[in-house]
Amino acid sequence: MCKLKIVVLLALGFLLAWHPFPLRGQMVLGQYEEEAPVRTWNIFGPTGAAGLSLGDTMFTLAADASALFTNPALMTRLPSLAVSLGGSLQSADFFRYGPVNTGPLSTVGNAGLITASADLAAVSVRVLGWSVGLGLALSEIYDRPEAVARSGSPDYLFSFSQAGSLRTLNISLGREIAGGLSLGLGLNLVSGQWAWNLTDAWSGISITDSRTRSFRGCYFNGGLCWRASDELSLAAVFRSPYQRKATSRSSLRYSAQSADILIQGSGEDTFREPLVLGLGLAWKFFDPFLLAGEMTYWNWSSYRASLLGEDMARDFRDTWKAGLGLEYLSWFRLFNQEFDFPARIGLVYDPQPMSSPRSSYINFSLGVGLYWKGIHLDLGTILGAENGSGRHLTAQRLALTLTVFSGPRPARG
Amino acid sequence: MLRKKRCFQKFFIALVFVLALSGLSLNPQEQETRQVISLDLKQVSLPQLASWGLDFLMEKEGRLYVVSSPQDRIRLAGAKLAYHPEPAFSGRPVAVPSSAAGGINGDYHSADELKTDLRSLEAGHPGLAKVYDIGRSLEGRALYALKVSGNVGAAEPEAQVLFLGCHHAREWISVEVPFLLGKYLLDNYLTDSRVRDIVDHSEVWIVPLLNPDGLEYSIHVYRYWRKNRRDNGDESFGVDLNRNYDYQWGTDNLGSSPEPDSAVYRGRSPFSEPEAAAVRDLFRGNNFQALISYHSFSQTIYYPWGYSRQPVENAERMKALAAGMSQCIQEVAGNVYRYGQSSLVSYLTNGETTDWAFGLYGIPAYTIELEPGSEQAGGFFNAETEILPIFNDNLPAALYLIEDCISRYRPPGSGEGPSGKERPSAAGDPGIRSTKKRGG
Repeated sequence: MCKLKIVVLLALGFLLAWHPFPLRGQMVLGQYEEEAPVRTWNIFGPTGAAGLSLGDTMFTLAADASALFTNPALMTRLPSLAVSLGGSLQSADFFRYGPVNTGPLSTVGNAGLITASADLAAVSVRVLGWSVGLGLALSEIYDRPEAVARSGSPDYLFSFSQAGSLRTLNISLGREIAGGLSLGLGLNLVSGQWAWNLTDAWSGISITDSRTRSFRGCYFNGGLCWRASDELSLAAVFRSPYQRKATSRSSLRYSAQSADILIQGSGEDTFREPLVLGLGLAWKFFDPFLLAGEMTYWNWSSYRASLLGEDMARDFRDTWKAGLGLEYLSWFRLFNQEFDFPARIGLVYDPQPMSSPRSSYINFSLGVGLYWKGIHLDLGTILGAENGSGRHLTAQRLALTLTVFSGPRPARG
Repeated sequence: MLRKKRCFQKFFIALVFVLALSGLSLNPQEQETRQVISLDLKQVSLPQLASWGLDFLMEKEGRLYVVSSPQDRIRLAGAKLAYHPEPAFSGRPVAVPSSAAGGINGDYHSADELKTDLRSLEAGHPGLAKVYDIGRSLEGRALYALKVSGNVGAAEPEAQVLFLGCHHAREWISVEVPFLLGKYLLDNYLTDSRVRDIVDHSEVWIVPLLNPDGLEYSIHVYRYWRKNRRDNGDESFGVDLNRNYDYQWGTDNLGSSPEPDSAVYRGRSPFSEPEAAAVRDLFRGNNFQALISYHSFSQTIYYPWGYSRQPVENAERMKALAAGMSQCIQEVAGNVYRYGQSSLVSYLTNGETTDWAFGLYGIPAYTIELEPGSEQAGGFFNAETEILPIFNDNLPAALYLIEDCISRYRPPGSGEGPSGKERPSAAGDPGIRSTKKRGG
């Protein structure tokens, strides 16, 4: 593939990822906490479609350049150049969030939300034995279903909206040192926005509550990958704990015939994100089958949220997330061209950190790939059903990842 | 001419008020030079100090605190007795604490900020202020009571008056007024003889925030939230704490509601809510002579009954005190607070705090609905700049009530009235009921 095409592809990917356009997102129950990300609290890093469909595994298999967000050591298993672009569609159920089903406003059943976004652009290049990666991803979404209640008599309007996202810019370095052992380290810079708007209006009186937050922070991720044999690879990864800081502003206004009262606030918010540790394996136990498994530890008990200098009550416990996936690799010939055709399924146990109510998602994943020469197109989906809240929440993500390789066919795992 | 005369009258009233508050028993020079000092108890002889006429304030952690004049300090220095100035007792005008400033709620207190400020008052005024943990909210937040009294650690036979704030979450100003009352009494203890008399001869109990869970929800989620945060199990939340007391609880569905999603839901049973139960328990451990429960809005002083439109009987003193408090408020800046029987001036309420306090303990009990006067003028909102003016409006009324209680208080066994468990008869009001506790 000519260099110009790669440059154009990269530029397009970064542009899309820098300006995500989430339509709407999801929530984990028990958490009307405003900083809860869509779908799950346990988001290590963005996962490409291949990893997503393989039980959301991402530590041991080098399927695409998204690996640099999770285990940069995997870049050494990619060809000398790999460019990945991805997008995803997410849908989820919400029940309690903001003022919805927590007091002033009730819904009949769960509220649904769909988001769509270009969420991944990453490149990995190998020069003189070093693998260098650069990636940009939409890592978390904070949207909530919009809530509006209106009545004509008396004239009454209640509306609530929340939207926000977090981007991660990753710069990584990896190297294979000896005996099939690779190491990698990444620096991640996060930035993002969050906005909350609530309006309560009746009979010429209105209350508006507007808040905004601008995030920033940085953390390290890294790992090692060891090819124990042609059939078995093992990996260990970490994500450092870090403080995600935010500049926060609020404006609370009461407007009536004889009053215009404004209370404004500004300050710093701090979210102490937890340490994450993970172990993974990939095992070609019976050709053409491959098994991938992962365990991830989340030190959520150390999580702290401080809004405008005030500590918020977040009763979190540590969690262990586990994923298992199976891939079957076949091939076919069409128009005199040979295509690889991997098919994947997986299962993920994803407990949420809230101590009460205890809640977890059981996710089922599946997906396929279509590989032709240096172009890989992967499609994956994960479907989750929640247990513990009594609300039977669901969450889905459908991801599409296009990866272009230059160089020899990548070593898988 | 008439206008000039009115201006003069206002000026005269203001002058009298300022003088009254500024402490007439101490001349200005004395105020400036009196100072609280502390001495090591191991190094002093109490009889000797007493013989010098030193004004003992209290003992704490091995130190004796004394209000000293310049002559006292000269005498101590002459006797080579080392002392330390205690600047925390400097006496200063009341002000909104800066620790409450900032955040979504501006200068208003959050639950955490209030805890910090109450602890700060306690630490800054040892011997005069003590913070008690009187219970826990549903979400586990501590409910604090600030006791202000001379020799605060001891239970002395003194008049006890209780000030409550924030039964209703959205009434943020109702936290600030009782809190500032406590701060005012403590900050001005040294420099204001009226304050000193009050603190030395009474126990002022202040629970500024009875509904911390609701307040936090009101700050962080929905500003107009009223109730506590009880999960009623039917997708509705909250019990109206001011309908959860056991006197005439749920006597009809007009004064409260059996429907959980109602703003005036009374709960499953009387005192089902730990916040209201904490007030009940505080009464059980004390012998209050009067109660004010601050709310907002409407600029009204309510007294029982709320549950019935039958005129309250045998309560002439309670009515007279309401009139007196209204007058006190008006004299500050001309703001008029109406007063009257709750059910007649406003609407029916049952299971309400003041009905319970009066009905069960026979004490004068008031709901003071703070400013503004109407929804169009701000409703449950008050600008941050209004906090101090509203407090200043209400301060004389609170002092007036405490002083009335002090003047009528007869300690147990004094022979001048009933024992401490009973209310001494009020002049012109023989019918005020006994304060003997009846298992409320």
